[in-house]
Amino acid sequence: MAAPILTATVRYSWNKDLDSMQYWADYAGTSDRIEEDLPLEVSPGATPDNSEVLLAVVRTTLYPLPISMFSAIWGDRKPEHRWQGLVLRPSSRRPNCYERIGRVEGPVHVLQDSVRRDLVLV
Amino acid sequence: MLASELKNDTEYVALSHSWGREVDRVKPIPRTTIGNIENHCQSIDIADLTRTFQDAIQISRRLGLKHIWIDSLCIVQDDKRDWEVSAGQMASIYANAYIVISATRTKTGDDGCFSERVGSHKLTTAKEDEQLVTVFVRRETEHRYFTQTPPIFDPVPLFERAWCFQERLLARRIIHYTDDEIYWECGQSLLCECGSVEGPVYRDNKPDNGNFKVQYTRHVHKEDLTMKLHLWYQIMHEYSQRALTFENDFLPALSGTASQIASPLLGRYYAGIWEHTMPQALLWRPWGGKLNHVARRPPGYRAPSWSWAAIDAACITWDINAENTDDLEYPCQILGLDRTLISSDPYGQISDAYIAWPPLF
Repeated sequence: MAAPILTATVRYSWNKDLDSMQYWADYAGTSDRIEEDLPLEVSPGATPDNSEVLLAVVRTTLYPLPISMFSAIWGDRKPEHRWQGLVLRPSSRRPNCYERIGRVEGPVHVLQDSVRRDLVLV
Repeated sequence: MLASELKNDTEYVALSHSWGREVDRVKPIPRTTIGNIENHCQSIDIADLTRTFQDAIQISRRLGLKHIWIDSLCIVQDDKRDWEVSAGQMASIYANAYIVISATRTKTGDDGCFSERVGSHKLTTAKEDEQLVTVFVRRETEHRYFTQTPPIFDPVPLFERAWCFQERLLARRIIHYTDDEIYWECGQSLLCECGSVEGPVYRDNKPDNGNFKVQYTRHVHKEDLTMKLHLWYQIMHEYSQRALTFENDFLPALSGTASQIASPLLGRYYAGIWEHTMPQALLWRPWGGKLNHVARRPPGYRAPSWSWAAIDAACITWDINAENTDDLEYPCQILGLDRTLISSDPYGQISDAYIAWPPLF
């Protein structure tokens, strides 16, 4: 895939309220929560704390959606442009390829730090 | 009897049942193998069959149908080639059955279709004028297991099985045997004995109780991209909550449904992802764990990491109807997609898949 790519560092953080681990992508002077496919510390194929990962931008959109049906949920929150994409790590199956470990989204202004690259996803 | 000996228009019953876990079974599931196929073509002793198989044969006979298709007996279990061919034909086997008998209440073959029902209780009481009044009461039957995603699978263990999800969708007519009632389900309606499952909501003058099979049958063959996507995302959400005995069955047990929904509008199929839904289809996400199971990645290869088929977890994706497409932009391009199929079934098991250009292999 050819997409804007950002480099990020994974940070683990224990959420006392939810009594569970949360994972963050630290990149371009900001942090956004990783929606992990599976807990990142679980083997096989764990992604440890402080690992370097890539963030691939798939799309940008207005969020929350400026649709009246959602106004009851979001109240007066003003929609802003956000990007949504994948969290990728080097593949353990195939050299020079990447595999998905989760999703992430963040504000579009950070995309100025992204570099367009071709990646192989397996 | 071999299928090749039957006329094309032969009416037959297909059985939808759960094999169950080996540790839970009292009687082993009888199977046809290379070693016993000749004997099985002659006869099978009914005493060798599980109670569910015996009940299904009894029901078939009472319906006046002479032939029954049961996976463990009609697929040669130790013949890989026969299994692959049959898995690819599952859509037509269940779709062409005159009726599907669903042992919905069973966890294993030992339970049988028929249940010992809890009867009603007789209550007699006196009204103010001292006249005696008698009423009969019984426990209210839960119908939401049939009209919604079951919140738990315990009352309907068969619905937890991935293979049975597809068998239910593909069948023209089904009789479900549950602990409390017998249900009738077809592409037009869902009916139960007490009559309360056919809910009060009507849309387009058609009964609509939320039953997905009715909705699926109504729309699956329409060349309408929005509707096909809507159906597929619901299938993805429902199917990803189901359980499999063999992890490699994940794609084969969905293959019949995928082949029915396939269309040039959707493009080629890549392990649960349709070509023309890329790149946005990459943005699926897990939605909680699986009932009774911990979310995990299967130990062997099943699907590429960019497909929801790669993990064991309930998954969802974006709802196309809730999109504000005016503001959407896709800076990502998918330049090439490919996969290596293990069998001739384009919707079946794969050994590899990638997103790349130029092609990897």
